[in-house]
Amino acid sequence: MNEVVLELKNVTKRFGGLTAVDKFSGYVKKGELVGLIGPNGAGKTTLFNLITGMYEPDEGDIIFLGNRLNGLKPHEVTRLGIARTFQNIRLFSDMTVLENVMVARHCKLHSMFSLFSFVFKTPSALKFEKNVREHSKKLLAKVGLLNLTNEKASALPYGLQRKLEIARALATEPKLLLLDEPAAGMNPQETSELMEFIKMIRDEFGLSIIVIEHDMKVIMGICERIYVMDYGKLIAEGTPKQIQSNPLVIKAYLGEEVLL
Amino acid sequence: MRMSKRLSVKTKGILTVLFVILMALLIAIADRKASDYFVLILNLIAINIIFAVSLNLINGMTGIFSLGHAGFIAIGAYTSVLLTLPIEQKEISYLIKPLIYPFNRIELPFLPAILIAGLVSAGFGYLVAAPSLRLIGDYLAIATLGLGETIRVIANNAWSITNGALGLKGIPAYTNLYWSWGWALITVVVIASLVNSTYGRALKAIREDPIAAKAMGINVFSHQVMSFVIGSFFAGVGGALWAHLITTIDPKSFTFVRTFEILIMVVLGGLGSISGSIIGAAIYTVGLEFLRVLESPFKIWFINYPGVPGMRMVVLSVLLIVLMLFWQRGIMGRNELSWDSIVSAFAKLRRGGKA
Repeated sequence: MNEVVLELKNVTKRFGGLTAVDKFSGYVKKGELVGLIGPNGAGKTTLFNLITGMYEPDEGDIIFLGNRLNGLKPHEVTRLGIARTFQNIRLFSDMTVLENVMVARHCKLHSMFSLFSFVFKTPSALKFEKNVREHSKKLLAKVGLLNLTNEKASALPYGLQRKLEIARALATEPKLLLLDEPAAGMNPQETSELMEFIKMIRDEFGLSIIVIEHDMKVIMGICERIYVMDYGKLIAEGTPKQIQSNPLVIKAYLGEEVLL
Repeated sequence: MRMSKRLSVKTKGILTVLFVILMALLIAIADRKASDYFVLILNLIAINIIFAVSLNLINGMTGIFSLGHAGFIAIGAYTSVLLTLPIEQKEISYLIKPLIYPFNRIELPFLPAILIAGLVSAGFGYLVAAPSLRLIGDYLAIATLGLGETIRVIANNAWSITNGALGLKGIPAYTNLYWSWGWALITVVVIASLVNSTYGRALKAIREDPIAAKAMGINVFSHQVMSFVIGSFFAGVGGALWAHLITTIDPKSFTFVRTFEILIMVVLGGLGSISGSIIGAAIYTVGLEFLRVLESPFKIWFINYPGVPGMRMVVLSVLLIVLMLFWQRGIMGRNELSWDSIVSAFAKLRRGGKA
């Protein structure tokens, strides 16, 4: 259980004069649930974008299961086993719930030339389609969306859209899942359901998970380890208990001269 | 009553086969009995279906706003004509500069010429797509428009290949109803099975949200190129059929106006719907012919209408504006016509009649 899945070494990303991520180092172990917190603009989402290949780091290395991710395209990173959700939900809104999940299975095809077998409907292509459909339905059943398979994704209520986005990410069969503010805009009831849900998928799929979240109840409730960022820098790392009493963290969140 | 009774796969299969046989019969009858004018219109409908469905794959399914279709039609038309034009005809036509080798020695049958035309067009599609797909949105539209026009300008000036502005005449009239509707059927079947497969879902995902598509492991760029290349292939095939129907081509036949004609058919039918494109192509082609009445003089009671050339385009534009006001997403939207939807529409009609 102590195998390191993801390792970041001195990762730096600059946008012009702004250093969005400044020499960030950290790691995630297999099966771990890691929190990533920090004030707005601290560089948390940028870090996700660096890991998933949306941006390329200016300095440092990102190592995932022995592969160096620097310079890989997002779709290549996904194929290696990293999936993500987005801060503002990005579903394929005009497609059905089932189709949204089925799309994520497309990355299991390895050659563009297999498209001919789909045009001519060869047995292997039909088998692929059947497997995709069955696998996607199974996944939807697991996350509790099976009764909504034929609804348009945009027709779902907000909380279920978040869930669908996670299901879609799971369909790529990731080993590491990055959740960007999964509880944003949820009420307390939905939030506590989400916490159970995240723990459930971690155990069910044997995932490592990194969660960005502003809701401290979520972070403190489910994460085993927490990284705190401020102005692109890592300012603290530790268990929820350690983080809660870390003066640097309190300063970053609440400013100085606060009596607790 | 949202869930109406669905037909079984077997029933749908039988209905489809019956429908195709019926169409084939109608075409066979039309081929023997109908007037030349009627046959020409039927041919044009089929060719416009090919153009519209292939452009819809690019614009509607993948969300690449391409305006270069006329360029690929030109490439298909010129390629096939260069391959099929009889050698004597080539010697007569090329007055200013002789045709280069090997085209001056080649005279191929129609089928290989069509296929090569499609492949050459697809090749150019790749050459156009690879650089211009680095752009997005309006910039992509302008780039494809420009590259499409570039193809036409090259055709206008490459005298030793295309015979420049003089164009080519005496093209063998190979295209008949079987060729045109046969290829229309192939186009629809190929593109529909692509769209309904995992590739189609990937293309739609790219249309909906390219960033999320990337995060789902889809190579957005190569899928967009694929869609563009397949679209160009069928544009080339359609161009070849068109050239051998009209039997004379010159660069003016392939201006961007042609692209917009096809775009009208696609948008009219519904961007992102294959059956919509078919309906759009048919309505546009037939509508344009019906409105010919307006260009010749006629008399209603005591009013003498003088017949204004070009009037049909004015009326058509107004009709299209009105249509788009009421159907903002086209006739079909993004829905497809299926046996299920037809049956439920009939059921609705009957229920409506009884109530």
